[in-house]
Amino acid sequence: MESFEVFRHVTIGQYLPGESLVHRLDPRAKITVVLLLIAAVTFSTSYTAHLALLALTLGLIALANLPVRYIVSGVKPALPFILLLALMQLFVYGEAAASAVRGTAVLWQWGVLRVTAGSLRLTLVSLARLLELLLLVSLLTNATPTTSLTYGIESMLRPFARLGLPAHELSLIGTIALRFVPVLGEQFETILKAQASRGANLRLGGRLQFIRSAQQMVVLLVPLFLNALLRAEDLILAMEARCYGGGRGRSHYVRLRLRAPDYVAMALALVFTAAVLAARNALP
Amino acid sequence: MSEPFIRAKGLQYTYMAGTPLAVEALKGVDLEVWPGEAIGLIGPAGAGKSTLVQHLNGLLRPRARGQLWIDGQDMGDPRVDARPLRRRIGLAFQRPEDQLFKTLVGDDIAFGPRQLGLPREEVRERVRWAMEMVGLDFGAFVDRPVVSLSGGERRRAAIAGTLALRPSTLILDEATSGLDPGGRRQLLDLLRRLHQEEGTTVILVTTHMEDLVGLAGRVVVLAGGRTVLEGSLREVYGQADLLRRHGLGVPQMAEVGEALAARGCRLSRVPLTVQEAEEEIAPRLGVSCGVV
Amino acid sequence: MSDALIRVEGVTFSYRPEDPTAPPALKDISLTIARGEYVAIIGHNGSGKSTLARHLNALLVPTRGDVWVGPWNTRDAHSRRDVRRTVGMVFQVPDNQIVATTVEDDVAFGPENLGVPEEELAVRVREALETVGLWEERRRPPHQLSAGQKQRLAIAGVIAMRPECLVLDEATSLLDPQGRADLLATLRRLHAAGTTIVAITHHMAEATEADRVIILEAGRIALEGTPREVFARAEALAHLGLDVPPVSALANALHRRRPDFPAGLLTVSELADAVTERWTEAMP
Repeated sequence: MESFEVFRHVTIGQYLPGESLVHRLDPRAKITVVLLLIAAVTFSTSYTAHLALLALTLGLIALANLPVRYIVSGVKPALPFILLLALMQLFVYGEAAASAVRGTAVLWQWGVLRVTAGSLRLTLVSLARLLELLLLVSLLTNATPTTSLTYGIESMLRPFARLGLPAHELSLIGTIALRFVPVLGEQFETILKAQASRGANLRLGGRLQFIRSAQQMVVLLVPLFLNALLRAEDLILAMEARCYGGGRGRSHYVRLRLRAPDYVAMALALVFTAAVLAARNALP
Repeated sequence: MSEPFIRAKGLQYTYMAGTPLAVEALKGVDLEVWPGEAIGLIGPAGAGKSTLVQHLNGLLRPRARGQLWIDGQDMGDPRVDARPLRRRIGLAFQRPEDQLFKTLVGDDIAFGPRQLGLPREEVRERVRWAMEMVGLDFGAFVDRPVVSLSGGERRRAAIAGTLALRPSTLILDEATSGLDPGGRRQLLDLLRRLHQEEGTTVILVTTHMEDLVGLAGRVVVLAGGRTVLEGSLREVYGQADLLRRHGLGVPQMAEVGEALAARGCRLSRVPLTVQEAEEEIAPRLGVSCGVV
Repeated sequence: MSDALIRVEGVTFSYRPEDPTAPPALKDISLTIARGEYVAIIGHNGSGKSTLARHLNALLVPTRGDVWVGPWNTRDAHSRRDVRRTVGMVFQVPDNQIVATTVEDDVAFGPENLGVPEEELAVRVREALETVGLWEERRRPPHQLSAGQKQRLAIAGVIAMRPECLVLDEATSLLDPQGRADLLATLRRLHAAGTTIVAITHHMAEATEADRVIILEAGRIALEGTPREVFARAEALAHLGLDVPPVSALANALHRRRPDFPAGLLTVSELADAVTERWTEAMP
């Protein structure tokens, strides 16, 4: 059976309203914490560090009262690719991994396929990294409304405005893009349905998805772009009617304020990341 | 035929099922549509009308509870292929911009017949017929870019694209919304012709109840994902209180009948058109109406 | 009228002025809109009604003739901001005029553009949202609203700029009866509070709310008067291919049969009263 629910498996970026401590943190604090933890995820190769990171992210998700199962289900569409990559890392990069990462001991060999302690570590750490990244980005986007995120980013970029960075314009572009993602997503679904209703052989959700949709993409994109253009024309007119004239002379409705819990969260993340990174070669 | 063509029983549907974003759109819909019938489907925004009609041509399928049979096939059975059904049951969506895929009008209308793998001559014949039905001149419009069409012309081109499949059942999802009175009349005339002359089964989803007069024999009212009322136009439009409670407007002529009844002047039937109301009222002006 | 807010003086407009064979969209139109008036402008698609609406807040500038909003000529680029702050505009498709990703941020967009100070912004956003009945929804993303709520949000975004006049360009045509009724109730409230309202529509029953109805045909004013005067002229309207609201049509039909029955009635209760009166009058 076909399924037209395009966003059924997109879990990143879906705001899930809540009143938890994580939800209430200032977006800038959340962005900072997540960036710090991503640094820790990226630069550690030890099992201990990743176990700690996994425990921490899962703990934060529990604290934010977010459904872990739903978040993890977001990985489903990419699962075949991830497994393929993992198998390649495990069997094919044995040699390279052995020298790059600690662990030259050969654990298994069959012809050119070779598993070393290094390649095993690389594979397990990569899988852990993917999972942690998914959890962290979900934690940020599922517990923060997109507007707060863009205002947070705008406010963090504002110091760079003096260097000529158009912080307001970038943020407005981001906001409008985010505003229209659900609108265009819905439209994409309707166009798919309209084509199926006129006899098109869509096989979305089936195994042949990628082969078949390449040629169908064109017929899908034409109406999508046409629609986006028509909408853009309307939007420009509406913005003009509401006296939009660029960032100069504008006031700001959202005033973000960092409070004690925000500073505590950022400090804890900093200490954690620093510790993990400092000890990254000492830990097993 | 004594068998309904479409039969839904306690039909339920949830979008994004199994996620925290799940939305229950249908909670229990009963519906029967006989071949050759014209029915109206009305309901306030969010009643589940679009979700329901997308079931009726197999775009959506019953997942958990509730049953749906179309032409004797159990749509809850995943082995049933819905694609052949869709070619017989045409669905036109609300916004024409969502259903025009090609840059030229003729090409776009030919999309369906080409998917059927019909020979070129037949495709051309169907495009010509469909354009004629919706009142777009073949010579003048076949090579026009879709973007150059006015709103009303776009709507007609979109419907022609559905008609070109020669469906035995035509479903229109709020296809009259946003049209001016002239455009609306033309579209309703077209539906009447298709129903009466071609024997097409018509299912018209609308929030303008006046649209159904002279076309639909039966109305089904949907609210909150359930069937709440069903009957002839006169039966349904006479239930002004119930319609209002579900956030629906009451057609003005039915409202006139209601207001007169409230003042002690009962008409013999619920008027559906201005002419009917005039015929009901005019002879009784100046005659006692049984004051309460 | 003594207190004119908008004066349209001999306006001709062509979308392609360089091409003399292209028929102009507006032909020598003159009209005045008084402060506090409620005007409905009716016409077919292509009659020029949207083009006229866009002249009222300088989104379009006449090819010939002038439009004055208060003391400002819309031709003058320097006064454009004043013109648009005075005359706000709501468009047909609710989705395409919402900029931000939450309800309250979108309402703030216009006043932000005007540089309204922060403390007042909060007051205005609250006031505008309470006027249209969306205060409870202020933190929601716009795509979760119904079409009717979206259109009321668009109105809130405009009234937060405190315009003297609100122009609605077919703002109800995509709404269901409930959404339309809610929107009309909002307009009635605004009008009672002194806002000038110009409603462009092809929904005849809506025009009964207005003080004055103007009917456009092929870029000219074809008919003008109070709703009662205009809807009594069934023949003239039929000639223009326009529908009379059903209640007025019924009153006109009864008037043709019995000249003592009043023509041009506008509401169901008026008509029912007129019928009941004659019903009892004739009692022996």
